[in-house]
Amino acid sequence: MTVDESRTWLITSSLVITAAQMVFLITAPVVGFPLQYPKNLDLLQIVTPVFLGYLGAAAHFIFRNPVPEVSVQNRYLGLLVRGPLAIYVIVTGSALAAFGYANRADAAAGTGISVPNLATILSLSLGLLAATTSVINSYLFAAPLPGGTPGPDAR
Amino acid sequence: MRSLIGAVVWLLIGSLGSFGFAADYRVSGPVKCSNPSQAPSCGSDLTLSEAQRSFKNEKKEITKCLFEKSSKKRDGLQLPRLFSQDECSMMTLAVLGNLCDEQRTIGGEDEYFWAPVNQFTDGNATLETLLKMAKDGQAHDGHMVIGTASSTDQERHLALCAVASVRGSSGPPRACVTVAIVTPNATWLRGGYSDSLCNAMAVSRPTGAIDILFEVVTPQGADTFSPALTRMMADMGLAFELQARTKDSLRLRSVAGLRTSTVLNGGWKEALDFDINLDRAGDRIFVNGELHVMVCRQALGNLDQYQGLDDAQRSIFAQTFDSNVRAALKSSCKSVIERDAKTMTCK
Repeated sequence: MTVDESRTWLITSSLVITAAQMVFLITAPVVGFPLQYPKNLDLLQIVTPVFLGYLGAAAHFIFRNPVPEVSVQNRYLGLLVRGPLAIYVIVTGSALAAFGYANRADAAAGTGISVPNLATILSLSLGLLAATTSVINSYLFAAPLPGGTPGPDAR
Repeated sequence: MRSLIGAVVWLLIGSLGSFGFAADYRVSGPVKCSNPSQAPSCGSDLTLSEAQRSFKNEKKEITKCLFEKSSKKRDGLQLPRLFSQDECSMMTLAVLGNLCDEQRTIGGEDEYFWAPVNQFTDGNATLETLLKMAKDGQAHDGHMVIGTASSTDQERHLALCAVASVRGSSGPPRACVTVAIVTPNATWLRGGYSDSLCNAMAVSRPTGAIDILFEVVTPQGADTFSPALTRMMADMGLAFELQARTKDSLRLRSVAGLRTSTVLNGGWKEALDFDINLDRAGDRIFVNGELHVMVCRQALGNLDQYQGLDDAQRSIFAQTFDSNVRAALKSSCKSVIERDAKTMTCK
């Protein structure tokens, strides 16, 4: 995966995930998902800012001309760009599905997942992005370090 | 002070200046009956002197209110019509409808009172509508206006009645209550106090608990109602216990642990307790139900994660329990007359 492909991947995935999360969490209470206003908005407050941050950095980046050179070990770039986002999507999707199923209308009391527990799961999966994607994002979109991005042979 | 004097002058002029209307009516029926089952139209009537006495009492209250108001606002207060919706009160006409469905002529929850037509801001317009309704004798929004059977040429009483209509055909006027007295010299109308919040049978406490209140006027003992109430509790899935102190003093306790709500739709879980006390005082039995509910939309197992009801949910619970208790009480009587949302006469 090239640097440019990584940028495209990050922008696309951030847009898709932001849209999906917003649409789902806003409409969830009215489609019978066991989450009421304003708890759905509380969750949205947790998960949205991270992706908005990625998109904000990308928005700044498109006005930067010429594009600053970034030295990166391409061998691991694809894995670290795609991997955390894929994990985030799987974990978040499963958490929401489990939450919906455990709290379904005919579930017995005592078998459900609470909203704070769901929020904890979402925070944990966002932690993975903070440790990986946010760092990559800062190199790919943010301003270069003074003197340029250190190359692989820099000491 | 000037406004106070003005108010008194206005009252005197208003009382003297009332004028008569032609009160023709198409339908008439008995309203004041010795036996309520004599006719469907039997309800509540009053005499002209009772109406005049009511006005006199009301004047005192209004004058007092205006005095207090004028002492607060020394600067040029414009004299309002006394029985208008002013700062003193939420007084309103109660001629074309019963306030909070209360069928009385004087007093009651809505503090019905009587006053000459020109004491109300929209008195003449309302009277005109009332007279039209009396003349056509048709049902309007479930109501019709009749002349009482005891009316004379010198004193005509117009009564507001409930009426059921099916495809344009109306049934007999029911539960009539006199709302206007027309004499050659003056026309008197019923007024009341309406804050648009009817004092219903369910009362919400600041803690979120709901009180379900009924008064059953009956010679029967309180124990007559316990089988129906316990059956209602069983039907609602409540585990109950009956504690009978005497035949006129009972306590029913019931509880439901964590479960899927039988009242709220959409998978809500609930935990509730509902206690009913039945105690006789004079000719009636006071039925006091006390409902505590905790709910949660998630299927959680700890009560500390449950919450009290929001206003909409509280209303649904109050309505459900009220109608269930009402139905249980009514099912214990051979014949029932519901006087208002809270009081019923049971035989």
